[in-house]
Amino acid sequence: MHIEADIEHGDSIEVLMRNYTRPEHREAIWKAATESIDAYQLWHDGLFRAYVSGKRL
Amino acid sequence: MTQSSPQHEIGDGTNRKPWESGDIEQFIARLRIYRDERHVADHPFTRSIVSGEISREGIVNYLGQFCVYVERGGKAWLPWLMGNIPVGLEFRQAKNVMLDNLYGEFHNPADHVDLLLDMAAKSFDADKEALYHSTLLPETIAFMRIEEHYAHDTSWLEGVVALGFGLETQSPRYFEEIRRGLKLTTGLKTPTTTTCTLRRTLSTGTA
Repeated sequence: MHIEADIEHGDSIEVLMRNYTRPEHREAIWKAATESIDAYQLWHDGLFRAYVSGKRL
Repeated sequence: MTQSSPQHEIGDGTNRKPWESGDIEQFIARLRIYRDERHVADHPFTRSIVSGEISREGIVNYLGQFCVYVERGGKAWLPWLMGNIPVGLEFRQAKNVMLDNLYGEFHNPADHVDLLLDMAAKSFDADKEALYHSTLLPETIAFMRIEEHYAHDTSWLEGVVALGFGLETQSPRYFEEIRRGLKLTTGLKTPTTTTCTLRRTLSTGTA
C-alpha cells in the first residue's frame, strides 16, 4: 500500500514538475535532481566503505 | 562505485546541455534515465545486503545512520519544505498526495525513527538508545547538508524535485531490495507493512 503510495507520489511530483518548470527554471531543476541523486549515491559509497569493504575501519 | 555526474552534453553532437533541448516530457524522461542509471537499489552497498556480505553489526550501524539522518535531517527540513509550497498551488490532488506523503514521515503511529529503532531492537537486539545517538559518517553529514540546502535555500520546486523526485521515487525498489536481502540472509521476520512504511525512512531520511 505504501509502495503504491510512493508510485502515486512520484507521479504527483512529475505533475508539478511538468506544470511549474518554466524554460528558465530547467537548469536549476536539473541540478536539483541530479545533485540529490548523486549525493544519495555518495552516501551509499560511504556506507560501503564503512560497513562492507572495511576501508574506513 | 559511483558514476561521475558531470552535467554532460546530450549525445546529438550539438554541445547542448541536457536541460537545453526538447520539451518538458523529454526533459523529465532524461531525468528518469539519469536517476535509474544510478539507482541505489543497484548500489554495491545494497547488493552487499542482498548477498549477505554485510555483517549484523554493519546492518545495525546502517540503521543507526538512517535513524539519525531522519531525526536530525528529515524532520527538520520537511516543515520548511512544506511551508514553502505556495498556498495557491494548482493541481490540488497532486499537492495533497505530496503533502500527505511528507507528513506521514513523522506522523504517529508510523514515526519512521521509532519504526527503525523498533526493528533494529527486535530483529538485531540492538541498543535503541545507542542507535539513536549514532555518530554520523562524513558521507552521511555531507548528504544531509546537500538535502538541507535544497529543502531550505532553494525554490519550493527545486526542494520537491531534490527530495521527492531525486530520492523518494527510488524508495519502492530500494527498500524492497533491502527487505529481500534481510529476509534471505538473516531470516528477518519483518512485517511487510513495517518495512514498506520504512521505505520512506530508507530513502529520504524523511526520508
